[in-house]
Amino acid sequence: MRNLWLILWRLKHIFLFLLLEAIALFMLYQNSLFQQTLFYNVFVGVDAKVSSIRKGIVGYFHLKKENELLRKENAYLHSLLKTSYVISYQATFVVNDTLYRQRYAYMPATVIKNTTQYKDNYIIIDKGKAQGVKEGFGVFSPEGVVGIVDHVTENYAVVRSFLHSKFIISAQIKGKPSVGNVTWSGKDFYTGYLHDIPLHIKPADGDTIITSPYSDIFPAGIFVGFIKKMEIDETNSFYRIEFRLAADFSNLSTVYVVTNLLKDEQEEIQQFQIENQ
Amino acid sequence: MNRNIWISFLIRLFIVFFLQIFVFNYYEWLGSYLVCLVLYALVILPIPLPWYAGLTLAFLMGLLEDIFTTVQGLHAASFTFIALVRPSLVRLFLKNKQEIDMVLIDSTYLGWNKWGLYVLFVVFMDAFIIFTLQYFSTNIAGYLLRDIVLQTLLNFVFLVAIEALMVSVVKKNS
Repeated sequence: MRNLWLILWRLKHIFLFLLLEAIALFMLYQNSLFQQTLFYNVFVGVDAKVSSIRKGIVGYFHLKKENELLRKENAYLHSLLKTSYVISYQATFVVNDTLYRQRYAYMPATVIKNTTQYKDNYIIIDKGKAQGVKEGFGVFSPEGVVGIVDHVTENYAVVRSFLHSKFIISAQIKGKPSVGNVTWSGKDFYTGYLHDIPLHIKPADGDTIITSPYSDIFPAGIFVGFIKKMEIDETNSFYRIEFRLAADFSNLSTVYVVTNLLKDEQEEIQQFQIENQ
Repeated sequence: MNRNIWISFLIRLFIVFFLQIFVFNYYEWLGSYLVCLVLYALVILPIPLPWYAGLTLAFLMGLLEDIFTTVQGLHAASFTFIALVRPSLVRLFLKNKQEIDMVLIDSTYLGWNKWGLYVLFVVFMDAFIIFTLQYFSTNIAGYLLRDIVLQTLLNFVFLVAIEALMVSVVKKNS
């Protein structure tokens, strides 16, 4: 017994090594809700504070580019206003405001931390529970889709970036009827894939990919990317389309958090449908 | 003597953590690679240490890097492994294999050639572990070798640069 104890004592550093590795690997692979909550609640605040301080200092150097982006977006939004259109069709129609229910609400936020190096990348933004942000809200920049809120603390939110192995949303090629799913390529921070587009659709290089009306996270028509390359997938029934992401993940600053105001209702009806099938 | 070594180590640790947290975590190089300057602290960590100290310190340094990159456990796993093999690796580069007094493992102690080679081993191990663990956890195939090579080169260049900077500062002050 004493010899056994001596042998074990001699290997004590190996046991400590195994214990520490086990903790690290458990953190890496076991993404349980409890563990994520613990990690984010304890550490994200610290990280976010440090990033905020830095952002306050460095942010001034990027104001010119930031203003340029916002000016472009402003111009685009102006072009969507009713006042930017003339009625060319003179038939009489009744305008009933109750016909339109607001489905999406938007909140501007600032990116204070963003990684692109890892296979599962996250972004931290400066809006959290206190400002009404919840898990599952969409996030996009003036250029395109950025991610989905994964976790919120009181004043910050952790966003699952488009550059995440488990990021997937519904999208379509602008002007074409078919809807597919977009994912990140995992290769670099500017390439994604659009899957499940049937072969009878004829996309072309440079075509725009936008969010589809079937997404319950993003409104339809938000830019996702621009087609670079197409190939037929293993099933021989669909295209696998490689595209360049619209959002510039190397330089994210201002983003918008989008809330689907009808999401609960939408989910309720979907649940009802599932239960009655 | 030991006290001076620890003070020197802690000053360097503070500098690299400050640079990592406020500068290097925000700039991607060669496409999308972050420089892991904190590895420098692990590279120079004094030897010999009590049996529990090296592993625990490395684990905590890795965990701190994880906190500031929002990746849970990745650097902690890599740093702990490096801490386990590091004493043997250092001894590999020493002519005189007998017990050594506590020293910082920097270029002044090993000489630039040996220290460079030692750093190359460490940064390679780190890149290998970091990317292999990620590929296992995400099932995204390909690009593993490219990522390991580029990350190794990038970290190597910056670790050598920071060491050159530290050595020149120390020389000036002495």
